[in-house]
Amino acid sequence: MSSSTELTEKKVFLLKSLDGVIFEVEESVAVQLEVIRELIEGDCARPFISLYNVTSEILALVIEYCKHHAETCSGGTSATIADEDLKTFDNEFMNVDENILLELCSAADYLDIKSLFELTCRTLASLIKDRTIIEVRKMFNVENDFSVVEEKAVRKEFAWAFK
Amino acid sequence: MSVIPEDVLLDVLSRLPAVSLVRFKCASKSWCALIDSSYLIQLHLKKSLNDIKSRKMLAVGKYHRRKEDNRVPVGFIFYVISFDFGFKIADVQEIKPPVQHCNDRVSIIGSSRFLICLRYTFQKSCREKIVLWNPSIGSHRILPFTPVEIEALEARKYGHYTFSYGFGHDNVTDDHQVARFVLDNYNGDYEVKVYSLKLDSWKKIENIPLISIFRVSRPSFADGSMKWLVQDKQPNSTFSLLVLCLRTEVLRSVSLPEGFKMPRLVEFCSYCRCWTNWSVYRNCFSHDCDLWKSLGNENSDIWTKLRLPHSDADGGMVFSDIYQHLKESLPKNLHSESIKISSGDTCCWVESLVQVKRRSKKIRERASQAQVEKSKKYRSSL
Repeated sequence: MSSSTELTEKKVFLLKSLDGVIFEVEESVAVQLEVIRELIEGDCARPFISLYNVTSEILALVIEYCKHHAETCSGGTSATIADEDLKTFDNEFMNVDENILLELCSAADYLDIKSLFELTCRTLASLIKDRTIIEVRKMFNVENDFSVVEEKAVRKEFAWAFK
Repeated sequence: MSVIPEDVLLDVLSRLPAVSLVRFKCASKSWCALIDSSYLIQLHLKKSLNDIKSRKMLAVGKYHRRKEDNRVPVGFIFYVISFDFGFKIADVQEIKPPVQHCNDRVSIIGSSRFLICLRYTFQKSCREKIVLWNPSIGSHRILPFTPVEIEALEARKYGHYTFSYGFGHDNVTDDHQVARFVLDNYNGDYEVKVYSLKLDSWKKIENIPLISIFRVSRPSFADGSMKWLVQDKQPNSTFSLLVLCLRTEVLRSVSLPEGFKMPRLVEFCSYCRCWTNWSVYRNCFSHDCDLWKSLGNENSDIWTKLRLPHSDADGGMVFSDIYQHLKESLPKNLHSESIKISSGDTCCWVESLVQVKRRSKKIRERASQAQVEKSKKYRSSL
């Protein structure tokens, strides 16, 4: 490890997605993925890191997110401008299909990226808070295992929550 | 279709308002169990306590039979006020009170985190009900009755007593407690009892001997202690604080700072304590308010006088002014120019799914029956 840190050129890591696509990322981006940072520190990041739970579509988005955050944070701009910039980026970044949002959320959890996890959870929560039960079941793939009578009973019990 | 891991789902759910979660219990059996799990309830509470958006305010409005008759209210309306970022009022909605068909009198004793403590008084029967209520999920508990155990010289009715209730939460034991101060107006004797939500029972607190009290204020709860402002009987007529530490259950007397001695009864301001650990006192008869802050936990004798906030015409304090004082302890973007609320009938709480309802008799009986059958089976198997 000591010999590699002396090199001035940027270190690059290879991430392999579930469907076999290999992404090249710089160290500043890679360390934002807590899982990968641990691998790098343990020197287990060669020749590439396989991520079995993330598809290439989602991994591309995750890398885009981390890249933007790494660039904004390391750039010379003042903290408030960087903050504003990140906020607008995050808002636009969250403007995706809800299935992708769910996968991003799971990926952020798996890759252990705290800020992205926080962001996706918050977005999902505000997205579903006013939804009907049928919509929520569909979105989260929840099977309704109540019998007709049972469902009627629970709906009656919590009728006030349905307004 | 995507299926997200359960811990991720829990994290998303813990950020939802209580009403959405109650609704989503009907999605499936597993969701119902997930939302009822103590893990989610605790996670949700933790998130709620740090989220401005889950802070709500309860306002109790009285209404009268005729407009011109403003003496005796005939009913009460409960409103929930929700706030936006920047502490602007976002929404006002009516809410069903925990105890209905009671038009006699209802007042707010206090609130702590997710619970509100209410006092219903029934004028005709001279009885009262103390209710703990979680408005987010409409769950409540009526406290068990406890008698006044002051030794009276002669048989006296409850009308001879002054009751002063307080409500607080002890962080260390994680217990919500109701404190009841009863003053015998006849001879200045008093009694303090504390109800613990965890134990579901009352306990009598040992008195400080040789104190004879003339008047007592509503208490303020701060730093784990309940503080009543009391005025001694003549000839001294001095004011002091009776401080009850909820953790140690020890009562002690603390003297007030110089310049605090007011000629009339001074009352605690009721609304500041919802947000901070500050004790704020005001003179309830004049329109001037004195804000005092007591520093330190156990040393309540260090005092700082804050600047005077102005009052509106009804004697209610203008909130914005108070919030300026609270800047340090509130998130940066929290300020309020828009709120004007007059005394007593408001309190704040945060959203939570925690139940306070006792398990119903049926369920308790069923549980004990199951226990009996189990032991029977066990015995017969031997």
